Amino acid sequence: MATTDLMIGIGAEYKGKAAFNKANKDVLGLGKGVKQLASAYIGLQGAQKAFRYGQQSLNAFIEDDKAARQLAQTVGNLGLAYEATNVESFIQGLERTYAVADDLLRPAMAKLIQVTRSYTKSKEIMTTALNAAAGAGVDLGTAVTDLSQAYVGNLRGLRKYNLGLTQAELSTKSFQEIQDLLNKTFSGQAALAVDTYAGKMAALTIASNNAKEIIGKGLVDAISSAFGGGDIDRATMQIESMAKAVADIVAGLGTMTGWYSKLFKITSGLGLFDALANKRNALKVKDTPYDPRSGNMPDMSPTAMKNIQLRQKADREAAKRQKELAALAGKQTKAIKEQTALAKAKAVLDKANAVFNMDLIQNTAALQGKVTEDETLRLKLQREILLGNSDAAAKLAQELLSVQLAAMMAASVDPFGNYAKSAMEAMKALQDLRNGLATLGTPTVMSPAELLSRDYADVLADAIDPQFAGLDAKGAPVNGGYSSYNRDLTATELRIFIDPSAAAYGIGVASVNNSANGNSNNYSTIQSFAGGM
Amino acid sequence: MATTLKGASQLRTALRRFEPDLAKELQDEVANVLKPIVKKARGFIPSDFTPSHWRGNSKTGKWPIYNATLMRRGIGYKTTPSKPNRRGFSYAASIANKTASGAIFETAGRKNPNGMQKAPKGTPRTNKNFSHSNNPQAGAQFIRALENASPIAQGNIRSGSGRRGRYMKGRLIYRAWAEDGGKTNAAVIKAIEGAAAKFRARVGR
Repeated sequence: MATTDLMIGIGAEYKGKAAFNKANKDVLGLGKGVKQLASAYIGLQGAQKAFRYGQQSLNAFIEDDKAARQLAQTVGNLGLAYEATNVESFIQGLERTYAVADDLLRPAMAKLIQVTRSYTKSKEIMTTALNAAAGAGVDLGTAVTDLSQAYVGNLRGLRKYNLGLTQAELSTKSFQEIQDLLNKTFSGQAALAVDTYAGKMAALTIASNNAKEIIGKGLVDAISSAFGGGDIDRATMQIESMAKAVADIVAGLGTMTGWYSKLFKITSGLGLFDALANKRNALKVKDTPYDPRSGNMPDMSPTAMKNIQLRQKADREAAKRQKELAALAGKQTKAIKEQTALAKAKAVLDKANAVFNMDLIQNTAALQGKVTEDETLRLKLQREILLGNSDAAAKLAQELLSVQLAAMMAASVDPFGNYAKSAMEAMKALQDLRNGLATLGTPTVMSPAELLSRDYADVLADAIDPQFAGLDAKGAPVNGGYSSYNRDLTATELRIFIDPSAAAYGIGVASVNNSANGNSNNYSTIQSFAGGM
Repeated sequence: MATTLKGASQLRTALRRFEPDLAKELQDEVANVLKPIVKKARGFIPSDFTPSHWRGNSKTGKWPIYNATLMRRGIGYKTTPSKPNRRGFSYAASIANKTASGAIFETAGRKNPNGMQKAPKGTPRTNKNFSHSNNPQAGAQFIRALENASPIAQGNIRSGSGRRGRYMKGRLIYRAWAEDGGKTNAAVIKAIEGAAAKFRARVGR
């Protein structure tokens, strides 16, 4: 039956508005649900966090243990097994001092030991690499790779450190010199980096990771002790039982860690843990090399003495190997230089051979009309080429080219001081040859014949230049300077007839004979402005 | 609604859970109180009432036929608490007139005692604020016939100052309630309180 408003209500009771009631009920229900969910979630999350932390601790320990064993194996394979403990303590010391994770240090140290075969040298290079990495802003792995490559003579990686040396300069230096330069440039950078905020954060991260590794080791030890009597293989046989145990142990560890923190806070002022740490460090002293500044007594046991002897032997071998590498690098450099010189000489000889281009010779001879003068030079040049004397050949080639050029200029110049197009092209070909030899290191030669030929052409050109018509017989300016055009004076025609071939021939013979007699040719050029020779 | 109870629904729940016999007793007692009112209200419905235009169903079925038997059957009482209404009130017991024809008989003319105004020309026939009859006196004549059969009365009988609205005015249950003068209301409350006293006595509180 449909509801109706036609109703008389008896015994009214206010129960709140229905919507409010519903909303209130829903809110209360929601709050209750959220509360239950939150409590369940917090419980679950806490358990999950504890379990996840346990997992992470186990993983961290497993990775750390694996890396440490790999490094120890590498060191052992290189015949330095007696240094394994020292390598590990050195890495731990670096980790604490420079806030660099041992995950990075171990592979870097392994790489250096592989290259140097010496723990002492590897330590030095590692310290240099740490400083260089911090100073140059590169990661440690890169710095170690660069230095290990530099140790064997590959210096390309050092460019990024901006040492102020060219690659050629670097190649002349030994590795020790380069290392000293790096130490000088980047000294103290690694220690400085630790004091920065980033360095402190890195230190905290490393401490956290180390805590994980320690807890992970404790977990593995506890599990192996509980289920396998200290043998993890036996413990793994009971894997299902162990899983439950892990959860319990993790929960217990969580509680214990909390108590440990409180206990540490309470007792830190009493120095109890410092004493324990000192005791542990004291026990480790015999594993570390003797340092006179430390104040600790050196370990004089037979094992320690043997280790010292082995270390010294390894260092000697490393130094010897370094010298051998340096000598090898020097030989390589010398061979490269010789090869470069040979290539250069070959290029010169090839260029000089081009002088015997038959077309060019025939062309020059045809233009010159006689070949006997330069034949001497050609024969000399050919002889030097056959003998393989590149320097002398190049000089003779330049001289021969100059003489040929002079002959061509003298033969082809017209009475107005100009050259025919074909002559210009031939002279250009000769000039190109000269320039080519000059680029290979043999400067061009200006022979007397060429000098005279140039002056001769200039004289011819000046003779018909109307600007010089106003000069008197002595060459002095009349009614103005050289540059004024003389309109007032009547021009006197002066005709000079010169046989160019005879002039060139005479000059050429004189100069060649003079050179052949061992005398130097001293010529004074004729002033082209003087109008005669 | 003059009297407001507190805890009536909790009492009823407690009775049903711990003292079912008391719960049944309370229901019977309240029913006995309400029955006379219902009987009286049903008595106001004439059997031979045949006003003009109320002798059959309308074509759309929205105007119900006058059926006295059905109308009487639609008047009843309830002794269980109602759901809270829109204003948040729940009632321990109630009397209701539930049929459509009973509602027409109950309420016709309580808003417009002389019928609705005839619709002006052009007013859509869907406009319910006007009478669309060709007879301008149709509403007034219909209400007058109902008034002759059973005059409308104010069911809100509370004393004191203040305006009494039209929502408690009617010709059947409200008239019966008005003529009862509040005795039934008092009897119901008394019954509930008696049951509460008995419950406390039984459970020792």
